[in-house]
Amino acid sequence: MKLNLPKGILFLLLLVHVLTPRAQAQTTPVKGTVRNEKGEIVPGATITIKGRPTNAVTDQDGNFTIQAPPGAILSISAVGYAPFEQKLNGRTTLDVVLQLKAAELSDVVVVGYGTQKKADLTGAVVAVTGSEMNKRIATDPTQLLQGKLPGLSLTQGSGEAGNEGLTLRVRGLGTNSSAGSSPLIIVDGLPGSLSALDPQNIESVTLLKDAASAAIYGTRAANGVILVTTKTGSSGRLQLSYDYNIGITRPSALPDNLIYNSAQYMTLWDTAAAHSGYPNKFTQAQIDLYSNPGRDKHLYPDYNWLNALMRTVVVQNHHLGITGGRNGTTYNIGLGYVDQPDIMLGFSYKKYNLQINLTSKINDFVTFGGSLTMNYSKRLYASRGSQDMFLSDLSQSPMYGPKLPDGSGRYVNSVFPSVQTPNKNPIAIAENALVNNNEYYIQSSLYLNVRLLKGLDWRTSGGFNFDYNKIYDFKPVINQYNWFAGPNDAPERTLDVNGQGEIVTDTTTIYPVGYTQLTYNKTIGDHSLKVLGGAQVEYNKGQILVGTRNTPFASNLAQELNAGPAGSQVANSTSSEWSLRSFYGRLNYDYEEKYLLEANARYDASSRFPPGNRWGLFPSVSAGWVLTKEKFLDDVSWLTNLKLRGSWGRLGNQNISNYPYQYTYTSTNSYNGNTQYAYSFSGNTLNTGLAQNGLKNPGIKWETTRVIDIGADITLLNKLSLSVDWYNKLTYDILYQPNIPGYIGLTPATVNNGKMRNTGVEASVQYSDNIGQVRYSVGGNIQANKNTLVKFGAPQITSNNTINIEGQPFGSFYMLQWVGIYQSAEDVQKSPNQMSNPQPGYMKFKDVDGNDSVNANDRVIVPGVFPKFEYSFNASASWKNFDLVVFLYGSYGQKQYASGWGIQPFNQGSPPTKDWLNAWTPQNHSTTMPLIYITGQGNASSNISTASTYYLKDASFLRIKNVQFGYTFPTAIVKHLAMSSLRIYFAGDNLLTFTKFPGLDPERALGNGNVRFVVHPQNQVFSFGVKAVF
Amino acid sequence: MQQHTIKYIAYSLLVLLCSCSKDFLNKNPTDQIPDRSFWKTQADADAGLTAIYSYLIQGYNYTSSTNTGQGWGSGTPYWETLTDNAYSGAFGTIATGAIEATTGTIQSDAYNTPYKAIQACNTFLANIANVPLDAATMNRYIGEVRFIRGYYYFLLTQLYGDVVLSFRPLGKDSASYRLPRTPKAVVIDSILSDLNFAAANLPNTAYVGHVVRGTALGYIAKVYLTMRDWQDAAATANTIKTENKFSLYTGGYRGLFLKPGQNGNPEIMFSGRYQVPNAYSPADYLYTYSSSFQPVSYLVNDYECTDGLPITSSPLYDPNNPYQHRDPRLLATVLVPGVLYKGGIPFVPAALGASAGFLNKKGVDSTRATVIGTQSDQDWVYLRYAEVLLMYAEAQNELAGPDSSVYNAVNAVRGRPGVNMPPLPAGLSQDSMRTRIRHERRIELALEGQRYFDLKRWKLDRVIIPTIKDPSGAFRTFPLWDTLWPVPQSEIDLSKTYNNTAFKQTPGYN
Repeated sequence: MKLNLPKGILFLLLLVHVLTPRAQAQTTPVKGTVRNEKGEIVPGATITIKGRPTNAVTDQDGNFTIQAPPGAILSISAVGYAPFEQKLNGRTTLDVVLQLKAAELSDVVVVGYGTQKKADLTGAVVAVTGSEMNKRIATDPTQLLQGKLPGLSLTQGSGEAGNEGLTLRVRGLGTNSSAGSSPLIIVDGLPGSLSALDPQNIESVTLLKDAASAAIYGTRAANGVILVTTKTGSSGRLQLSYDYNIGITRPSALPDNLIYNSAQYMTLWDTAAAHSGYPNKFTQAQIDLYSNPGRDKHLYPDYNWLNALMRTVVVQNHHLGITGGRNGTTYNIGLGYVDQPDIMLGFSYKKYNLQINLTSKINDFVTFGGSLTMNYSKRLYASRGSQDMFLSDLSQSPMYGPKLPDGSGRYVNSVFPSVQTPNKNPIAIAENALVNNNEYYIQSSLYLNVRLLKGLDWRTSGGFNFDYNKIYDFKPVINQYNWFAGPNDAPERTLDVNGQGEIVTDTTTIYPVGYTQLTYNKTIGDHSLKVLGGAQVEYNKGQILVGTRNTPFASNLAQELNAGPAGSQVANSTSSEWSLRSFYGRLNYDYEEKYLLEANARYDASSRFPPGNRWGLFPSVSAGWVLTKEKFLDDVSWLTNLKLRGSWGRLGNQNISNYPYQYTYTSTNSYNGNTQYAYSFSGNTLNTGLAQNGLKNPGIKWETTRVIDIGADITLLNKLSLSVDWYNKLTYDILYQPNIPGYIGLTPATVNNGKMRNTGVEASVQYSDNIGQVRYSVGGNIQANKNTLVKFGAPQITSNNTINIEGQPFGSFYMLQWVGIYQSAEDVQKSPNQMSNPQPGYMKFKDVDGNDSVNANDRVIVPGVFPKFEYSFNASASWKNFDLVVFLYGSYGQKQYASGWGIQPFNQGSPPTKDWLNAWTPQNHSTTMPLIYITGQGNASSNISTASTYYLKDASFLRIKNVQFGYTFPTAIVKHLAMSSLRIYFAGDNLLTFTKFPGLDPERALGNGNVRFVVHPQNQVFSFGVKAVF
Repeated sequence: MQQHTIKYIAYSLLVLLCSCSKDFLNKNPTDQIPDRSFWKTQADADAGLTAIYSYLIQGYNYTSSTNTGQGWGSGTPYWETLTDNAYSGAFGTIATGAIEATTGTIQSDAYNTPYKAIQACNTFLANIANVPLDAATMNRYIGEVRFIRGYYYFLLTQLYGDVVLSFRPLGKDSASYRLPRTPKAVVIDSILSDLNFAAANLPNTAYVGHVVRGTALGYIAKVYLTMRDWQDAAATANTIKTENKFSLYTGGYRGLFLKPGQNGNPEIMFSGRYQVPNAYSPADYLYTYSSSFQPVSYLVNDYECTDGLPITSSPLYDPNNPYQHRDPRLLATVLVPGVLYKGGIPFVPAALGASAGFLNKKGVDSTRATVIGTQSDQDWVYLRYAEVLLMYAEAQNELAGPDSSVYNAVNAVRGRPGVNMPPLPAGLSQDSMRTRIRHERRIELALEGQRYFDLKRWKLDRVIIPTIKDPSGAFRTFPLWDTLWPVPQSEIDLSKTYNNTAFKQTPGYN
């Protein structure tokens, strides 16, 4: 483990200390007490002076003292209470009464093309603040949304640094469309990337779940919309803040019961080989080399390959923030740096981020502002990915290590190649052959707001995203030797580095967007009216240039293309474009803030559809009724707020390939993606070929999702808030590439076909109160979704052991039902005929159709491809200067199909788990472990490896996602350091997981698609952090 | 800032947003040609023709993520892993003889690849009339394309019997999705019609990369041989002989399969032509890096000694030096232990896990150091004049017995320059001659992907395959129906999707 504490921090602290002006205007001490409306004292409340860095915290008796000029405005805040401001007007004592926060009803929420008071919302909208998100530490802010927004399901595919495989689903898998089912992400009003942001720069994130709230985004809103707002500055003196976090990171789970005892491994191998009819066995002499207790363990080790690849690393996050403003102009600047070595050797991720936000109010009529995100990241990874590294590592046997025992540093290929040839040496890959991925990303937006008349605003905004990605995939020539090779022995093979030579890939995307809109607000008596209308255009162009030299370079030291042999060079480039033009509008009306009505519409045209089908209209309506504003509920004092909501609307999806309707002739063969329709008739010159490789659909149009939502928001006693939603989401005209008969000889066209329904319930509850001096808040979310394929056509069975069939969830597991293990020859004979000539110790599968023969027709649908529900709990408490946050996240009812390395024995030589010591033998009649075999060899493997429920593992889990314990230093101490506040904290991520899933982390990409057990594990992090404000 | 300045900025933004041209929403592929602009010039016809030929080298490509193509291009030898010539551990159950509808790999590739090529042929034939060409040129283009269509249908019908037969591009109409499998006899008629058109319209010259009249005649002979139409087979093969455009290569047997000997080679009549770095094959890597393809001892032991006697009776055979004094074609075809390969490393089977003890050498450049991704450029040979001679001998022997023309044809192959095996003994019976010819075919064409189809037409697959003991120690099996293959299960599933009741699985596989 390497600890790299930057020396710069100390210097920075010193610098800030020197530069911070300490001269203050004449101040006098002001004393006071803070109580709540019940008269109870409030400890831990923060008192700040507006426009000054000074602050104070109330003690356990609710008392505070602060130095303040006579005319100052004190601002008092405490968790769970509404903020309070008081002008001193010369007073030196001040008793403050704080009001419990009325479930944040007065809060303003960001919605599509504007903001809205939370009290006035009629659609299904949830939001989370940046400060709430930042209670956890993550390098990608998307991860922080997990469990925070009911209705949003976030699955983290792995813990791989910079490549976490995050899947976002709003209210279930909305469609099986090739247009995708990920939500639209809008940053500061324009389509953008959430991952590119530094978490510290986020002000809030809003999720638009139903059609009423999302319809204003039209053809791209079907899978929900996530609105991200970055922090703008606050007026006042320049404030500097610095955040630092250091996290000790290790795998959340690793198999701990693999057999890494060489002699035991070899003996088991020979037994397995006998069962599998495999001729390659270890001789007794070979085994003896490893079983002798007095042997040279350097030459004949019991090598644990997991320890060679997996490591504990230190991850660091820095964030420097500058905010302030005067004369109507405010700014917020953030500079972030993430240094994230991966728990897997060699992999790493670094990210540098600069965020600049500026707002300027020029006069009473004109405001303009903008935000700019600049990001540079560098990621190192193996060209075949982390899963391949993991399985290559598991394919190694314990009889040798990664490098020769002679100390020459040469890499090992195998030890007894006549018996087994393992996969590539992962340590050699990690140390030599990593892809270097550099990404330069800019996300920008600028707006101008003009107040034309009272109530009439004209807002115009434009911006662009620019992404430049440069990937170096250099493939060095690395020799691999036999473990026992002498100094002059030839290598056994060269390391598989996924080709040879080098590939350099440049990808550029430019994505400008602009909109202009008018909003009009008018209140006449009890009637309030708000009208919005606007137009938007978008254009996206992606370009790729790939340069390759395909033969080995003379040296591994010079790694630009020019250093390689030019005779094998190939250049490719292509580009693609799409564009959208849209008109949108919204109408809000309310009567006495009691009866609420909203209507949205968007009219979109996409270049992806033929002219006749280009335009689509997406309307929605919603209504709300605030019952607590009715007279008949005036007397019910415990009911603070009760609102019923309902909505209906239609959304679109058009995110398919760019040219689905034009028949063309292309030089790229669909046979396998990297070949051309080129042929060398003469053997000397290459002729270019052109052909049609796919069918097109001249009648294609967008797919539509209809959502109905009914919900209620309730607040009781000002302490307990509850929100519940029920929804029914139906997607139809699904854009889908169906399989077509092979004899047609072309790739299929995208068609509009199929229907999918998602129904579900979401609820969130939060309770805040205090016991004596302890303020606490507890709450939770739960979401349950049911996915059903309503219309699909004839069932489709996929190669991932899943089936798409009407009436079932999309991609349901489909496989043989495992019913036990053959215990005797008689047992085999009595049972229905099975494939692979079963023997005692083989698996027995159920003859579902009862025809006395087990084959593909006996496969059954097994539930569990999606979780039944996902849930989270949060609890926070503060006492004096201490605070504690606990966050739990769980998922229930999903299964994962897990096979191959780590589950099946001797897959490419992979060590079996100790469970296999108890495998079936004629003496040991196990009913859970079949006889030991060599995966991929003989009938035993054919039988036992057959896709069955045996490999379907319960992947439900509940985990302590995060615990954070913090301490805020008293102002009296901090001010000597020229700080206005200083907080330190300890945090733990993924501390404990409750699950039945064996060996590795159950949190992974959902069942459909990945059938391997080995997946890069999630990270367990123990971190320490500092937040200093100057 | 002045009020009018702000307005100016705002107005220009507005103008910018709304002034986009009419074409703003009309986006077309930037690297492809719209179909209505194609089929206008001879260059278009050439590009279309090139794309069709490119299927001849769509083979096993290790750098591709899909790894498809066993059986095609440089993956052609993989057919022999289904015979007593070779073994592939990579094939799972198919290598043990059991071919199922769900087997995959070569089984699904064999089905899908020809149809892709056939679709490209039919698209070409449906559009070529739009290109202004004189009649002779037009017929030469059509001849080449019809040859390739016939070639792929011939592959298909040998494997599946009845296949979906179409002479028009498929996919745009619903009828395309409900086609039945056409009876094999009709398919064969169509193949012969395509090949005969090609033979009548292609130039009668040596092979130069484009197929020629001789190529078409060679496949006509092959079709007749497969149909046991000895008369037509012998006559067609004889036509090739008498037209005298091809001859046995004098530069050495092994040179036929390596790049330096291939351009302008008088023996090669049809091949897949490779060129690095854009159209390369993985051959050198594929056959030396791992041991996914291994010749087996059944083949090695079938090579005679230089005296023309089998190893069981030749006095020249030394079990301790088993590769000495053998038919020179053995060491040109099979990599045996101790021989240098991979640019100069001695071959040790155990170091590679080559449990059968041998690797492929035919079409493999031993002087090339191979790593994953090594690019090879040797052409893969699909038809050569030696096979025409052997086809003639086989047909003529069946038709008229072992006359002198039969002897001459076989002895020409045995005695070819660089091989110089002694002539067949005189006075062989028709049956003995048949055995000799079949042996000669196995040796001369070993690992060229022929033996699987030979065993099928000789109906020897069911006899020989169950006698093969694999390196694993297990015997292969041969379920009787395996002489025809099942179409992939996914095709049966799809026929239900499209309600195509006319499309049926091969009998025996339900």
